[in-house]
Amino acid sequence: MVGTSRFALNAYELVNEIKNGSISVEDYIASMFERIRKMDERINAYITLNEHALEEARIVDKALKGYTEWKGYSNGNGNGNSSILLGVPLAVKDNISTQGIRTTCASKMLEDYVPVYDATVVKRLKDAGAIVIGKTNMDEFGMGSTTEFSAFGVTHNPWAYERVAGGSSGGSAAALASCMAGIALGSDTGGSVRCPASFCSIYGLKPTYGLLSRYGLISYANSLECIGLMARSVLDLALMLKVTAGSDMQNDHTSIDADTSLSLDPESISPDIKGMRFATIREVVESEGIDEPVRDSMLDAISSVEQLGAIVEEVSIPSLRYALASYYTIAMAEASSNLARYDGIRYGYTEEPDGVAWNEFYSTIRGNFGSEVKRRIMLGTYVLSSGYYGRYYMKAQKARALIRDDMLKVLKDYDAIMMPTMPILPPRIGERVSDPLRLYNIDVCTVLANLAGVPALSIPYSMYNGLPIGVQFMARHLDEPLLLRIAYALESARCDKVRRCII
Amino acid sequence: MVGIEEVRHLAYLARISIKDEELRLYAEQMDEILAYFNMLDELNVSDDVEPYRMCRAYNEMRDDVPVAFSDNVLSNAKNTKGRFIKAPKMSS
Amino acid sequence: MTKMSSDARVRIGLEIHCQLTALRSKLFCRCSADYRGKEPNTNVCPVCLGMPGTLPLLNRRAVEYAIMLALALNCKISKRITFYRKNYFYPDLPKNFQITQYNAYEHASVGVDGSLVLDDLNGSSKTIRIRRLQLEEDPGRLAYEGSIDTANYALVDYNRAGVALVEIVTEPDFDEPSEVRLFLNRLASILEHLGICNPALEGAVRCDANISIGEHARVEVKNINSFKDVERAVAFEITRQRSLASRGIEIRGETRHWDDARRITVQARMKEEEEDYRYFPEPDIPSIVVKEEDVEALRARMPELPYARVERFVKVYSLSSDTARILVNEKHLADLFEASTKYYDNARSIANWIVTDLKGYLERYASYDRNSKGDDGSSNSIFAKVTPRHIAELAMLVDSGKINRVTARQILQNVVASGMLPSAIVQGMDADMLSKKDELESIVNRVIEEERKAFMDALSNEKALNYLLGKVMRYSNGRADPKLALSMLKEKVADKSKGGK
Ligand SMILES: [Mg+2]
Ligand SMILES: [Zn+2]
Repeated sequence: MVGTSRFALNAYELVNEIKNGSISVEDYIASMFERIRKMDERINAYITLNEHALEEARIVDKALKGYTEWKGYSNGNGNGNSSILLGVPLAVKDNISTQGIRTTCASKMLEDYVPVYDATVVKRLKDAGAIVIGKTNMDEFGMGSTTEFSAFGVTHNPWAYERVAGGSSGGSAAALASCMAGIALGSDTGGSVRCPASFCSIYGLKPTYGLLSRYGLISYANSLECIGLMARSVLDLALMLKVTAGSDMQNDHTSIDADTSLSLDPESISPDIKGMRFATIREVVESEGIDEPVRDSMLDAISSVEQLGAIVEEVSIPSLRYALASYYTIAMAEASSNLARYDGIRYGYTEEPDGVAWNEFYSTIRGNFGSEVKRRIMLGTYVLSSGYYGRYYMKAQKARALIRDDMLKVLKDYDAIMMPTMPILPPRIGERVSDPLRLYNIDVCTVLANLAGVPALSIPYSMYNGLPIGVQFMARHLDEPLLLRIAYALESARCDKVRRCII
Repeated sequence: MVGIEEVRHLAYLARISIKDEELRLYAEQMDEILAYFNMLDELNVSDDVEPYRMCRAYNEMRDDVPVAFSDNVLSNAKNTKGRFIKAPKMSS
Repeated sequence: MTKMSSDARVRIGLEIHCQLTALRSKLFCRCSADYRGKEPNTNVCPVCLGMPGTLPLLNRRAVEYAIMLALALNCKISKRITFYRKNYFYPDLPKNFQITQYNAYEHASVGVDGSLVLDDLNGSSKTIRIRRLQLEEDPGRLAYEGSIDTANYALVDYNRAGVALVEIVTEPDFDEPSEVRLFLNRLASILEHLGICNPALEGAVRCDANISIGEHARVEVKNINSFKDVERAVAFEITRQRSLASRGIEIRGETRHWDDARRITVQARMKEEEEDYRYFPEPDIPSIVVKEEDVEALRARMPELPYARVERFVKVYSLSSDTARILVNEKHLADLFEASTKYYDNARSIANWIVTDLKGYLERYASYDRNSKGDDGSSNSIFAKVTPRHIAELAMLVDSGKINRVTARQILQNVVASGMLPSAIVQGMDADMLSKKDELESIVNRVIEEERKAFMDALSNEKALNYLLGKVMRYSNGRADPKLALSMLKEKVADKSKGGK
C-alpha cells in the first residue's frame, strides 16, 4: 500500500494490512513521524514524541515474521486481547502516565517529569499491540475547553487553523483529524474528550465512570473524570473499548467490572436502531446559548435517526439548570486538593530550597501554574473552606444527586438522551479565553454525563462552512454497546456526508 | 463579595504567589464565578437528600500483602542529599 | 480577665496515634509497613509518594484491626466508614493532604463514643470517654544536618509515609497526670492483647495532650515520645498554668512542645496565618459499608482482652485482683505467668514471684519503660533468657525451702546472664558452699567478734540470735544457707554458755 491515504486508514483496516504483510510497522511508524514533523508545525498537536516508538515497531515486526511470539512489548500478560491493535499508532493525552515518556499535563510544573509507570489503560493498549507515538497537547491539567491554556502553545483546529481544536483533549483530536495518529486517548472531566471530538470531526467516547481504570490518569477532578477513547471510526472505538474496559483492582478500587454486561465484539455491532427511543431535553433545545448552525444540525440529526426507525421525544429536566454550577464547584474543589502535591520537592519544576522559608518556597514554585489553573485552585480552596463547605460543596453534591436521579429517570423511559455535543461552532483562537464564565458555559451539554457517571459519545455529524458539528448521545450506566450501535447506524447512513480526516 | 484580602488569604492557603497587580483581576473574576455558583443556594433540597457519592463499588479493599516497588521512584527528584530529599525548612 | 484560684479544676484530654505495627503493608499501598532501620527513601512506591496519577488502595486488615480496637474501647462502629482529605502543606506529606477521617458531616470514622474504665484508681474507678477512633496515614519524617536551628534546609525520608495509624481522641476526662499514665498503660495492654500494635517500638505510640484549668484557655502539648513523658509533660503543664493563674497572668490557648531533654514544655513556632484544613470526602476510596454481622464476626475473632483476662486470673488461679491486674497490664508478664503454671502448679506463688521479684528486677535493672525512646525493650532480651520453666523452678525452689528469696533473686540475675536453669545454678551453688564451709565459719566468727554485745545477749535472748543471723546473711551476700548458719551460731552460743560457766 502506498501514498498518503494509508495514514487515513481506520485502525482495524491498518491492523489487517499489517497482519497480511502489506505494511511494515517500522516503515509505517517512521513515515508517520515524517508526517508529524511536516504537519505539526501548524497544528501543534504533540508535546512530546516517543523516542522508542521505532524500537517498539521493530519488536512488533519481528513477532509478525514469526521470530518471536507476541506477548505485548510492555511484558504484560495481554488480557486475551493481544494483537488486536497490532502496530496501530496511539496518541496519548499528556495527562496520562507513560513510563519513560515525559508527561507534562501541559504545565510548566511538570515540564520535565518522566513517570516510572504506565497507566493501566496505556498498558492494556500496548499489550494489544498499539504503539505510543507521542503525548498530545491539552489545557493545563485538563482545565479548559479549547486547548488554549497550555504551557506548550495552542493547538490549532486542522479544519480551520485559526480556530481552536476544542479541549481539553485538543491535541489528541487534532492528531486524529490530521492523520497523525491511528487512535487516541483523551480524558473527559466535563466534556474534554467529546468537545474536541466534535470540533475536529471524530468520535469521542466518555465511558461509564469506573469502566476504564483511572490509574495513571493525573487527577484533576477524581469523581468526574474518565479516560476517554477517540477514533475515526466506530469499529476502532469498539476495539479500543474491548481492550481497555474492565476493572483494575490492583490499582484502582473505584474501577468496576463489567465483563458480563458488555459485549463489544465489533462484528456484533449491528447498525440497527429501529424502535429505539431517544429523548431530547427541552432545557437544552431551548437554551439561548445554542448557535443556529448547531441547532439546525441537531434537527437534521433527529430526522436522520427517525428515518432509521428511532423515536425521538422531548422531555424536561428542570434540575439541569444547576448542572454547570454543580459541576464547576465539585471540579474546582477536588482540583484544589489534587494539585497541592505539585510543590517542587519530589518531582517537577523546582528551585533550590537552601535557606528559603517554606511558605515562600511553596508559593514561589506554585506560582508557576497557569492563570486558569490558579483561578480554579483558589476557587476550589474557597468553596471548601470552613464556613462555605455547606453552602457550596455540599449543595453542589446534593444538586448532583438530583441531576443524576432525574437523568436516570429519563433513561428508564428512553434508550438514550440526544443533544448537541457543543452549543457553538469551534471558536476563533483567543475569542473566549478572557472571560472565564463565558468559557465555562460552553460545557453545558457535556457535563451532564460526568455528573451522572453515565457513558456519552460524540458522533461527527455535519459540517457548516467547513467547520465540524457533532451530535451527542448519553445512555444508561454500562450501556456503551448501545451508544456504539447508534453511532454505527449513523456512520453507515452518512458515510458519504461526513469527513473525519484531512489528508 | 470576594475582596482583595480574601484573595490574598486564599492564595496563602493554596500556597500560590500572586502579584499584587493581579489580585484585583482575580477578585473580580472569582466574584463573578461565585455569583454564578450562588444559584445553588436557591436550589431547594431537603436535608434528607443524600449528597452524591461516586462510589458504586462498596467495600473494595486490598489484602495486606507487601510488594516492594523495584524501580527508582525518586528518579525525578532534583534536590537531593544522599538518599534524602531536600526540602525547605520550616520557618521559625 | 478574672483571676482564677489556682486550685480550679484541671481538665486533660489525649490524642493518641498508634501505628498498626502488626500489618505487613502500609495503609494505602503495598510498601512494607516495617520502615524501621531502612535506608532513607527505599521503602516507597508511586502511591505513597503521591506520584501523579496514582490512587490509594485501602488495606482490608487495617480496617479490621481498627474495628477491633474500637470494639475493645466500647465504641459504636460507624455503619459507613468514609475517608476524608485533610488539606495542609508540609514537606513530609507527599500529597500535601492527609487521608484521614472526619466526623463533622456524618459519622464517618471507624468508631465513636467509646470508653475505657480505669478500675484500679486506689480502690475507686473512673470512666474515660473516647470521642472518636479513626484510621489515617502517617507522614514521612524530617531530619536536619546539625540542628534544626542551624540547618538551611530539611531532609525528608518518606519511608514511613503511608503507614497505618489509628488516632484515638478522648474527652477531657482526666483530672490527674497519674490517670493519664494509667490510661496509657491500659491502652498499651489492649493493643498488645489484640496483637495489632507493639507499643515498645520507637514511635509506635505517640501522644498529644491538651490541658486546661478552670475556665482558662486550652493548651495543646505535642511531641511527647514516651508514656512516662506524657505524665511528666502533663504535670509540668499543670504546674505552669497554675502558677500563671495564681499570679493573674493570662494563659494563652496555644500549642507547646515537650522538650524531653529539659523536661519542660516550650512554646511551638507560631504559624504565620491560621490554617483551614478544608476537609472533604476522599473521592478515590469507596466507602466501607459495615454490616452488623461483619462486626460480630470480628468480635468473635478478637483475642481475650485485658479485663476478661484479669477476671479469669482471679477466678481460675485464685489471684487477688491487684496481682492479676499487674500481670495483665503487661501482656508478656501475664503470658509468662500462664505458661509457667504448666511447669509448677502453684499459680499464686508464681504470680507472686513475677509481680514482686521479676517485675521489680526488670524495673531496676533494665530501666524499663515500654515506650521509651530508642528502646526496643531491653526487657525483650531478658525475656529471651527467662522462660516459663525458669520462673516455675525458682518459685518451686523457694516454696520447698531449698533457697530463700534473696538467693532466688541472685539466681535470677544468673539466669539472665547465663540462661541456665535455676536448679542447675542451685546445684553449682551448693557445691560452692560446701567447699567454702570454712568461709561461712570465718563469717560467723567475724560477726561474733564485731557484735560482742549482741552475742552476749543471745545467751539469753532468741531475738539477738536472729539479729546475728541477719548479719551473717549480709556479710555472705545472702549466699549462706540460713539453716546452717543458724545452727552454727547456736553451737557457738552453746559453747560459750558451757565455757563461760
Ligand atoms: Mg491525626
Ligand atoms: Zn508505597
